[in-house]
Amino acid sequence: MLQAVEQLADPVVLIVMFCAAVYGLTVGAIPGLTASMAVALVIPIAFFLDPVPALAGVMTLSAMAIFAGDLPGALLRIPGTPASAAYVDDAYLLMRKGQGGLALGICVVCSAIGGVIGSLVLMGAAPSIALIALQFSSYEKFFLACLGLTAAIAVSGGKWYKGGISLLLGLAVAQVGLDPVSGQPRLTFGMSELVGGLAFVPVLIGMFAVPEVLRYSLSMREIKPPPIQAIGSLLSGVRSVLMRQKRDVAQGAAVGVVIGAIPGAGADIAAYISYAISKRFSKNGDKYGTGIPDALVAPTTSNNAAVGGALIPATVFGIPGDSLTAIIIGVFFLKGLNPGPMVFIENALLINTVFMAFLLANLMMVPLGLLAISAFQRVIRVPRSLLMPTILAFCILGSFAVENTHIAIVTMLVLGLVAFAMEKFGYPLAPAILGLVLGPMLEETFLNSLIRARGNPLAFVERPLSMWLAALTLAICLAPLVLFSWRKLRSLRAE
Amino acid sequence: MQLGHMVMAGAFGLLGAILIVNTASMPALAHIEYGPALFPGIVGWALIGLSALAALDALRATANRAASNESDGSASADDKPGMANFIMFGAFVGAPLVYVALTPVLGFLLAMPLIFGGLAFIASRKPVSAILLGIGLTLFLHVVFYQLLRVSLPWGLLTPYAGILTWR
Repeated sequence: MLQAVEQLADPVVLIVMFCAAVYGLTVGAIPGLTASMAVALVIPIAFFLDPVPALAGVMTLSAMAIFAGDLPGALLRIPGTPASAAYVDDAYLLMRKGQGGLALGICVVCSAIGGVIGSLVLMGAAPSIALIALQFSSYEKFFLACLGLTAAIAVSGGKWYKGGISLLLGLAVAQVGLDPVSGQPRLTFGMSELVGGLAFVPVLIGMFAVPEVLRYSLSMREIKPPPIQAIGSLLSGVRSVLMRQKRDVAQGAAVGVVIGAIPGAGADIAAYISYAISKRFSKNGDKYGTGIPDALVAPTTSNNAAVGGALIPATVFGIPGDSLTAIIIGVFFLKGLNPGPMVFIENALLINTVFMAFLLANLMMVPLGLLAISAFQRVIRVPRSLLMPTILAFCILGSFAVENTHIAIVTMLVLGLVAFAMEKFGYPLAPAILGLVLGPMLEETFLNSLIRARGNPLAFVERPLSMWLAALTLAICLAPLVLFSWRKLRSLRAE
Repeated sequence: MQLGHMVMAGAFGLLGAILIVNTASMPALAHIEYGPALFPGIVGWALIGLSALAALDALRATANRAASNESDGSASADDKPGMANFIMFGAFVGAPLVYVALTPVLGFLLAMPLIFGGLAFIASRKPVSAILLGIGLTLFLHVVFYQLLRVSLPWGLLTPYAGILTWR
């Protein structure tokens, strides 16, 4: 740990973290630009940095972008990121009542508390779980990947088959290139540029940044900024609210870590669940949604704690909790930090430095967040008609920079158009990105297990742990069918 | 709108078929009957199955709407994108392709201001802001990616001056 702190104390690392924090706070604060997009756009720069500053910067950026989503929520009633949507009404109405300083003060302090708890749980739990995970064979790893993908569909919202199609698209994209076991070229259509597979960075930029630009082009709406107003003292009154709502802070952090760790769930779902629990058990529950400070505490703690929670399965098993973590894992791979239980033995110093960077980023959130609140009213005045071409320029150059080929730009554009159409017709994007990340692991463990078992599929469920994981995966798959049949039966009986 | 859902379902079904057809002839591994075609085959068939389900659902929704005489819930006339929006959409989609075509010829420093200044002008109708954005963005990206990160950006027509314009 001391060595990790020493690595973080390097001025270059601290400067990169500071720049990443400013960038994360700026992008997260602009309505519609998500934390995932912020990280996707910065990968090309991370690619050229040394591993420690690159990974520390990405961790800082992801922590800051989630908090920054609270700013436009309070000032414009437009959540900056989906993770801030659960409590946007309360934050906005508090601002209208002249308590904007209190609302934003609660958001920044609770975000930091949630983030710090999430990172402490991550630092404590991940190495211990990794020790257990070392016992896993390729059968368990296969079912674990299946479990992650199944859970991703189950919690993706909307129609389950659309989540399934999205996941299969991610798996299909992951299969382009050399087959992981036999090394034969596959789905390359005779193009030598595709033998190495579709590059991860252009695919990510295409799926997360390009749809935003295209959506703007079809609406071309400028968000009318409110007149610059006095927000008031940012920290006065926060302490008394937090002392009163201690239980909500604990609840938000616990829900955030647990929900964040479920593949496919992520910060936005954690915030909604935490808000609902807080409302259910609060004596002021009937006033939630009308602009009371109590309503902000649990969800804003929860969405930042979820980032730490999502990093537990991501680092230990290589299974990302949500699309943001999937992108972070992509950066881990790019910098040679291959997630899995062995990372805690082979790359212990680097992974500990990454965890420490995440903790430090969450501690930095209070001073930098307070500065961001003051600057925010100017950030949202940047006209979108100039912002969107700038984002597209970054998309093009970012895709080109990593691969140094124009095919990367075409890949980015094609995947961007596909993602735009998917979002328009209600197909969630998160399962696709999880499929893309987990696809190679799923196929490799599946084929290696089959080879080990000499083609006997029953070998997959011969070990007790793999049998339990298989049963759990099957239960998640069958749950919607069972629920549907049960409801149908009940309605038939009622008739 | 339901037509769009049908087209999406059809496209994903087609992708499933491409996966199966393209990998079907790949040889299996030695000693076991499975090979590189197994996984794409599973994904392909699953895509076809789920796409059929999506198409059926879209058809059923159309039939239900027709039976209850409802509108399809698509955007009102005010919300529908107009010609300006479609031009803008075309410009944003076309910009990366124009970049791919122009940069090897003109070079990064000349192509970027043209493409992104033009794009900003189409979006904002403010010529001064658009020119400033085009030039400022190009210089910023050139400094960050070429001079600092050492990404090789094409010089095109400016190749003879590349030595003078590089300060690293």
